[in-house]
Amino acid sequence: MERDAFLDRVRRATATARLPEPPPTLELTQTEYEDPAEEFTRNLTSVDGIAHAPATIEDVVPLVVNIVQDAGATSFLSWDADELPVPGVIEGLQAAGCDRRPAVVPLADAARRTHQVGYDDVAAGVTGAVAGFASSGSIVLDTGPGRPRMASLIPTLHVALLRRSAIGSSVSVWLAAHPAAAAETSNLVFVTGPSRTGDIEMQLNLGVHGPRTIHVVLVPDG
Amino acid sequence: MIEQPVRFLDRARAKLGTEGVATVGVAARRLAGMREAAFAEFPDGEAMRDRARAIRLRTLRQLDEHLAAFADAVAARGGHVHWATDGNEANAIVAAIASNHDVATAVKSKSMVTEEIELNEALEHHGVHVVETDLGEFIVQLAGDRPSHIIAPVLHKTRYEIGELFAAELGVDYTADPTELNAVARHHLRSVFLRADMGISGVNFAVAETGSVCLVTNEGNGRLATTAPRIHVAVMGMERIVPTVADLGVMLEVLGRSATGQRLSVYTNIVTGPRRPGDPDGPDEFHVVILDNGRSGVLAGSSAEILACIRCGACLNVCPVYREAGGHAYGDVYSGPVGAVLTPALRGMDDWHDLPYASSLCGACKDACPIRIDIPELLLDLRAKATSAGHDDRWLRRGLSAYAAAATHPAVFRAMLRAGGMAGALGREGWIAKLPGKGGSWTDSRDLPKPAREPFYQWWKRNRGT
Repeated sequence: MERDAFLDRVRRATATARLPEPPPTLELTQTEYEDPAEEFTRNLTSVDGIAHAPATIEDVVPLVVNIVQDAGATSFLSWDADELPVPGVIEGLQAAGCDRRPAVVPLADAARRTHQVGYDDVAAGVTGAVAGFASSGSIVLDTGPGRPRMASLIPTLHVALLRRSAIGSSVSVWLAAHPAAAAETSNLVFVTGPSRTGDIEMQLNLGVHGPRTIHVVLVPDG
Repeated sequence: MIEQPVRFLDRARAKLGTEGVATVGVAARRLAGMREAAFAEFPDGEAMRDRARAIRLRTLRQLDEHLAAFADAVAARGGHVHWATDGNEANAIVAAIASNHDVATAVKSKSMVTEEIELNEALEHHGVHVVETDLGEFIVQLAGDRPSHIIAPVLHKTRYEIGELFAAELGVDYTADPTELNAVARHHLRSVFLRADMGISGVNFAVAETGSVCLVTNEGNGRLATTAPRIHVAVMGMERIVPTVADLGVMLEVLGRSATGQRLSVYTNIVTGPRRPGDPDGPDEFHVVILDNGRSGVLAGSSAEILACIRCGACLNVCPVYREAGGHAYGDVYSGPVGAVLTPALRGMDDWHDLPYASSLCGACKDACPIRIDIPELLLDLRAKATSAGHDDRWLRRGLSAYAAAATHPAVFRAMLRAGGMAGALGREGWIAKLPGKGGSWTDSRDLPKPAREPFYQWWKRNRGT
C-alpha cells in the first residue's frame, strides 16, 4: 500500500478515536544513589552477573586474564584496544596464550557466512561499555568502528570494562539525558545479566543464546 | 447468526483440568507474584505507570504524524519502510524481500504480530525455511503447536514432552533435564543463526524521532537474529510507536517489571538502520514493515484504548479465567483479557462475539496493566455491541427472560424457589453443574450454587412473619 493512503486512513481514525484523557504527569523521586557502584554491584549480582572492583587501573589486565583463563577460554573476540578504557588488555590475553579472532565480518555473502560460522567456538568476548545503570545492574554497549556487536553476544563468557564514573542511575534517567544515543549508532544495547530463559517449566537457565556468564569490571577513574 | 466453528467454552472445556493448563495456571500465578514484588520495591512505579499511560494515549491521538516521522527517520538512516494494509500484503512484502535476495533460511525472534499474520506459513509457501529461535517458540514450532502465553509461549508443555519432542525431531538422546534441553537448543540454533540469510523480528517499541526499533528479549535470540543475517526485517503493528528516546526510557521501566518482575529484561536491543560504514558487523539491509490489519478500524472506534497495550502479559497472569482455561481457549494469537478485547476488535464480532464474555469483569487486569487500560470497560462495550448485533448468548436471553417472567409473578417465583430447594439433589458439595431442560444453557458455562432447602421468604415468614 502507498504511504499516503495508509497514513490518510490512520489520520481519519484518530479523528473519531474514543480515547481517555492522559493522566497528569507526577514528579518522580529520581533516586540518586550515594554509591552508584555499590548499587550497580548489588543489582548485577541479583541477576546472576559478577562485578569486580579492582583497586587500581594496573589491576585490571591481570584480572581480565584471570577471568578468561579460569573459564578455560583459548580464543576471544574483542573491541579494538583504543575502544577499551584500559590499555594492554588484548596484549595481556595474547601473552597468556589466548587467540584473538578477527571481528570484521566481510560484506560479500559467501565470505560473510564462512566468517560467521567460524565464530561458533569462540569462548570469550571482551568489550568496553558506554555506561551502566545502577538501579538494574545493566551495561550500555554501542557499536561502531572497532566495536563489534558479536563480541558481547556470541561467546559463552562476556567480560565488560566499565568506568566507575560512567554508572548512571536508571534506564529512563540515562535515555532522557542522552537523547542522541540511539541515533548515533546502528545498535545500542542494554545488557542486564547473562542470557536467561524460563521457557521450560519456568526453571531458570542461563546462556540459552547469549553469554552464560557476564563479568563487569568496574574500572577506577584516574 | 454466525457461530465460530469452535467457541471459547468448548475450547476451554476441552482443556480444563489437563496437566498443560494446570502448568499455565501455576506459571501465571508465579509471574503475577514477581510483577507485584517488582513494583513494590520501585518507589516511582505508580508515577511511571501514569507517564507510560500518558505517552501511549497521546501517541495514539496523533498516530499518523508519529508514523510519518518514524518512516522519514528510518529512510534517513538508510532503512526501507513498507506499508501493509493487511496480513496478506505484509507477507507478500517479506516474501518479495526474501526472493529478491535469494533467501533460503530465515531466523525469527519471537513476535506476536508475525503470528497474527501467519508469516511463517506464507514464507514456507515461497520456499523460505523459517526457524523460530526463542526457546519456547522453537519448541512450539517443532511440535506444530501454538503459543499459549504472550511471554512464555510453551507454558502448556512439560519438560518430559519437550524431551520426547527433541529426541524425535532433533535426533538427540532423550533427556528431561531443562539444562540439557537448553544446551541442545543452543547448539542446534547457533549453527542456524550463523548461516541464515534473513533475520525477522517483531518490534516492542519504534521511536519516531530516531527511526529506531527496540526489541526486548531475555535469551539474546533477538540480538542474534538482528546481527548475524545480512538482512533484518522488522514487522510492527502500527501502534508500536513512541515519540522520543526519553519516552522509550519510561516504557522500558514498566515493561520488564510487568512482564516478568525484572527491572530490565536481559537484552534491550535498539536498532537504528543497517550496518554503517566502518561497523564491523550487523546486517547490510534494514526493512520495517508497518502493519494495519484492522488496527485503524479499532483506532477509529470505542475500543481504541486497547491499542495502548505493550504486550507485557500482566493481564493474563492475574486473570482468573486465563489461569483456569489457558491461552488456547481464546482461539487466536492474543489470549487472556487483552485477547478478549483485541481479537473481536481486530477480527470482527461475527466470529468472535463470545470472547468478551470470557471474563468475570473482576478488574484484576486493569489493576495489573502498566498502562492502566480499562479492559473491563472495553469488554462491556464489546458485549453491548454483540447484543445489539444479535449475538447475545442464548443462556443470557433465556435465563434473564425466564427470571423476569418469574420475578414479576409472586406465585410463580415461590414455586420456582421451592423447586430449587428440591433440586439440591442434582449436584454435589454445594454446586449444581448441570440444570435440566432449558436451564441447561445457564449451567453450560457456570456451576450454580445449590439453593437452600428452605427459601428465605419461607424462613422469614416462619420466624419473623405475622
